[in-house]
Amino acid sequence: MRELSLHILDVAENSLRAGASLVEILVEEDIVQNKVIIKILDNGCGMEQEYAAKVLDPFITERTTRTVGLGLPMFAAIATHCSGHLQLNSEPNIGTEVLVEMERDNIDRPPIGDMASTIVSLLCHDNPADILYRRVVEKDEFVFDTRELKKQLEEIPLTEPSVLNWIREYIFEKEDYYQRKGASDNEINS
Amino acid sequence: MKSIADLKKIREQARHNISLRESGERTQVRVYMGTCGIAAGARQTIAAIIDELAKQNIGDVEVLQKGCIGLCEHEPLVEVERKGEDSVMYGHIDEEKARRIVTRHVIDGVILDEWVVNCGCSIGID
Ligand SMILES: Nc1ncnc2c1ncn2[C@@H]1O[C@H](COP(=O)(O)OP(=O)(O)OP(=O)(O)O)[C@@H](O)[C@H]1O
Ligand SMILES: [Mg+2]
Repeated sequence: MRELSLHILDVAENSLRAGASLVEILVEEDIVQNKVIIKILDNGCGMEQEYAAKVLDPFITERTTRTVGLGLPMFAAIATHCSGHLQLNSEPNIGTEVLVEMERDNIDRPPIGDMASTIVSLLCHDNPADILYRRVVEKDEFVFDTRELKKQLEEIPLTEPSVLNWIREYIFEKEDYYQRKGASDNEINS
Repeated sequence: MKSIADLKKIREQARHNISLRESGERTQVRVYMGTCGIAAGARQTIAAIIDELAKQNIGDVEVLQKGCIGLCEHEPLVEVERKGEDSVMYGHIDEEKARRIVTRHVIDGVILDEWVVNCGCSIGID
């Protein structure tokens, strides 16, 4: 997959499938430490230690439709390839955390990509959850919280197409700013 | 720059549209995506469907993201179920085809035969 945002969608889809009511997503660029940090935290059903230890192996899946689970092993492979790692912490009935770090300026590091479409796609899931998305570049931070949005929308559902489209454009504008900021901070640091 | 305050206007418009709707079931558009669907471009497909619905000011359609159903070779998969009609499964739906499905099938009710997937099975949801 060509974008980190596609891996994030994939991992967060696991969280929704696990029955989470809240999924927290962090995408951080630490320019000084030369790191991209991604965290996906959910309060879903979690996994037993023993199972969680095996999940990074592609032949582990609960799917009945297919014999291989690809999401986590693929993300782990790209992280390792970019001098980083993927760490999975999970506890039954508490939830799951997926933490990924990779070298920011690694030539093979995929771009962050279209986080706006990733968030909107998650909001359409048939097992919906609140989403708290934080995007950080150095000291700048953008926070998107569906719980805030719901207050503004009153009885109108988030899944109304006009609302979803607005959300996509809203996040897209912010992402654009952060991508530019990332690029210009690079020059200052080099 | 967009701000959260814009939502008030969107809310009022949506409220107006909803009050015009006849009650009862809504049309559902389902996009299937596990890892394989995502890799095949299903995210852009769902974004295009939402965008087309919003642009044409269609509110009484529910867009749902669902998990993988094992028809990985046909992805991105889009299923349309209009109120009271049989559902239709479409395969290899990119952004452009997705917009056309919204206009022709979701709105006008015409099935686009050339993109229909005949899986010969009843779809099992995981
Ligand atoms: N957040 C989570 N909460 C609970 N269980 C999880 C979570 N993430 C992963 N799992 C478990 O790990 C398995 C493997 O996940 P992975 O994403 O690698 O593959 P998959 O979801 O089964 O299939 P796909 O290839 O479509 O992603 C899942 O089937 C599920 O049992
Ligand atoms: Mg998965």
